[in-house]
Amino acid sequence: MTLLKINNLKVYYYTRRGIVKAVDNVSLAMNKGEMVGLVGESGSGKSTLGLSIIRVLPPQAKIISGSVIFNGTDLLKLSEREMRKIRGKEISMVFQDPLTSLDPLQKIGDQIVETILEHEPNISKQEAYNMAKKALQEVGIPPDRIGNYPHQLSGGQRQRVMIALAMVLKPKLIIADEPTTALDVIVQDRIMELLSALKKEYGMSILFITHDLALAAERSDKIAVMYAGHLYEYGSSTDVVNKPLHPYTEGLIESIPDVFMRKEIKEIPGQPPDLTKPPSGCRFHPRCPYRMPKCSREEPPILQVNGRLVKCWLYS
Amino acid sequence: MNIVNAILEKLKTMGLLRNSNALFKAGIIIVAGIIILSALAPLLTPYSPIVGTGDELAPPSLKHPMGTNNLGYDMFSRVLYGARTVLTVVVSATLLSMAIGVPLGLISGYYGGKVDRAISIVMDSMYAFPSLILALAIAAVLGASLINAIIAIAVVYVPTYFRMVRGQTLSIKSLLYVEAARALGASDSRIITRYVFPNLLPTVLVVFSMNIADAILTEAGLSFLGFSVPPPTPDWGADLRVGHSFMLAGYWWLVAFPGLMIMLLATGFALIGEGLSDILNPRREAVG
Amino acid sequence: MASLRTYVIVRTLMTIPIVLILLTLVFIILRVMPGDPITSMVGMKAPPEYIEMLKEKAGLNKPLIIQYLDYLFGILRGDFGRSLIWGERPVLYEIFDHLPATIELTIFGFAVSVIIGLITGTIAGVRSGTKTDNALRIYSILAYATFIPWLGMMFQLIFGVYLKLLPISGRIEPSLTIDWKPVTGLYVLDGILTGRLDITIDALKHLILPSITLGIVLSGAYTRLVRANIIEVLGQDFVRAAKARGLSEIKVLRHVLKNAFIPVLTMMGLQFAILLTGAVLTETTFSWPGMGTFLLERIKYVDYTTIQGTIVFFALFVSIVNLVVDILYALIDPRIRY
Repeated sequence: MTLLKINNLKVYYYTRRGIVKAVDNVSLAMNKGEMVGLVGESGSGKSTLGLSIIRVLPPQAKIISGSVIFNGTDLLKLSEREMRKIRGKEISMVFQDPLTSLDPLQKIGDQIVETILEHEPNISKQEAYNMAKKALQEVGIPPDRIGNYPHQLSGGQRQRVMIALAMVLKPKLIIADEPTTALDVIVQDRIMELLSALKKEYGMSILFITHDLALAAERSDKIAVMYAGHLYEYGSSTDVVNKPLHPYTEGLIESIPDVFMRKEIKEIPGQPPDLTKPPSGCRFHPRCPYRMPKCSREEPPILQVNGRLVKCWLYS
Repeated sequence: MNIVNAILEKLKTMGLLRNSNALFKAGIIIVAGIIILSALAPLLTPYSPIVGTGDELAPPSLKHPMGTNNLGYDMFSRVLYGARTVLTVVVSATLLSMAIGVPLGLISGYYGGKVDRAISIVMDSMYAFPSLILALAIAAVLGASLINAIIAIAVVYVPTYFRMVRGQTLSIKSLLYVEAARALGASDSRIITRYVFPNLLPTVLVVFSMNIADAILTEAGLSFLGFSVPPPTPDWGADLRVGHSFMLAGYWWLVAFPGLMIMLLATGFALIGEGLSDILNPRREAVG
Repeated sequence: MASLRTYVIVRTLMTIPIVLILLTLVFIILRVMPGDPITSMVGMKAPPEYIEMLKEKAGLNKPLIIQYLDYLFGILRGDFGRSLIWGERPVLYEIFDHLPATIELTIFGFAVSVIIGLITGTIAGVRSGTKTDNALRIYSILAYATFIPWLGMMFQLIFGVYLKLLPISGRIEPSLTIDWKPVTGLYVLDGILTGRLDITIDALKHLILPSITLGIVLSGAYTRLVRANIIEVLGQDFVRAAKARGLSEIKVLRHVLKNAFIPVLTMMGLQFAILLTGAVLTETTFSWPGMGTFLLERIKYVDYTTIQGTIVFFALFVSIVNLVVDILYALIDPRIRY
């Protein structure tokens, strides 16, 4: 059952250097209870896509066109007031840096309680406190730390608090934007474990935004690959990792270092483009080893190949 | 010569003129305008600022654009010549504070240690003290004169330069390329003249112009309280004191113009400082 | 919260060397500077016997080191010396006579500046980059560059001389206080305490022009500081995170303001020195019988011990206010601990 369907979404940034087409005509669908890994380099538009879903973009960003259908309603058509009821309750978000994502001057428990009361005004303060304690326990924080300030917790614990904040109202979708990037590897793994467990326990869908294809492949059901504001490949994790269709995905997989050094690491040559002046045609063509004359002239369509989506002239 | 070249180089890379913004330009126009008008004062007004015209408490007219005061002095002339007094006191005082505060801050920040701690605590204590009251105490002890006003104001602002230069020196000292130079055996004097001092320059310039703005208000305060140049020297703050009781009787022009000039000149220098700091630290634009 | 107690103790102990240095500075300025303070204040023309008499009274004839120790231990005992004029009244009594007027003025002036500063700074910060922001930036520069006596005189001219709406000098209408004894010396409060609302109202009327004058000029610094902090906090992740949790705009703004105002609090300590400077000028402009007017009057009469005592008092006052502000800061911000 489809939970989220993004159609032809365009999000542009209006900067002094010009218009940055951060998300350009992206479509993506997600099912209930699914974890989708949205993978791309920094500047690929993956975070912008995530922020557009709950509409908390920075002021210079504008949603130009498209729709975000969540549970049957187009979120882009909702008023700010209606949107507020979705945020944190139906869809919540976990950000990259847990140190800066919590208000440093408020006890962690109060931040959770504040969120609960905002959405459930009928709940008593005491009940909200108990809910907060339970949520902390669920993410592995001893409930007696409810009176702690963020700076009194470790990085991993703070991210757990962020997750507790995100799941306390049992949302249908959690958008996790690089939730483990600021943490060390072992903590990283535990946080991913926690997200997977929540997914299973409550049937939540998780949009896992990351630059790390290996990490995404390990936990996600599906993988979407973005590059320079376009979605280039979308399919089940095993398929995408074992048989990448798009040359960019292939490049990403080849550039994953292997701990046992069994294979050679190959970097993708060149740099991601300046999105105020994106390359013509396929945006990946300047770096593509398989480029054809057509690639620089015409933007490839999105094609269905073996049950997945790929945006490349190689398959037409 | 080493240091002069380094400074010139720095000024060139700062590209002041190329990048100048509206605030900086407005400030330059105001300050230059006042300096030129006061320099040309003998051409602009036939009246001396310290000789009565025989026409007392005359309202502004074509003959006396800013009126005359209780002694019949032409206010326009006093305002123009007053700029000379204010600029002399303020510029000499701030240059003096800079000449003491900058080297002190450099040494303190560069060498650190006990001397640094001792100087710092003295400077911090002075900095926390109300500037006008400190200047007032000094001026009162020394007696009211132009030189003493310069000394009093200079003492007050030494900590401003000291604190800024010390902080900057500390951060420049720890820059990678400065540490590299030291590791390669560059002498302290070479590091100070080649790296530290030129890098201090932009901030010193900003602080200097901001500081002049502040010193203008302190000078005006001192002379308003009667502790700067003795009468009948033209001075805006002093004119405000003399004019106060007459203003209450409705002779507003005795105070309105000198006070406006204080504000205008202080604004001019503040704008230069603001503009400079905008030019030197352009806000970077974040693109997500 | 044991760590908070440590902070308070350490911060308090740190005040001691600062106070000692300030006292020494005052001593150096008043005694060691070239020339002889009494002579330069009285003027060269005064008869030498008179100057000698004043010096004798002020203890200026002893060796410098003895003078210094006398001075330090005197202050330690709370002895600020006795006035050279006014019947040898203890200086501290005279200070306490004039202190409430200055405190009342600074409280109101401070309130005006903080209110204006918080409002304009918040607006400028939230709307940064817009025309409103630019206009408020110009406002902050102009406010900062305004000469307090001039602004005060313009207010006196408009509201006192022309419109005759408000009193332009003094703290209170003298006829109201004929058979009235103040309690704390803060007239607004004393009027309420003694059930004389007419006094409170009259004191407030007298406060309007001086405190607005002082407040406007000092507000510029707050506008800038609040603006800069708001912009910084708005760019922080937790603001976006709070929005992403569905918090209403007012609740998000509350998080922003709380975080943005804390650094403003530290500046209030430093601003206090500027506030006192401004208060001296405001008092002179509005004939306000506070510490500033008092100090100037005694300088005029060469009441040397009183001058010294008053300046020492200012130094202690500033140090204590800075200490209190720092402790308040630590109480509000849980991150500040030793």
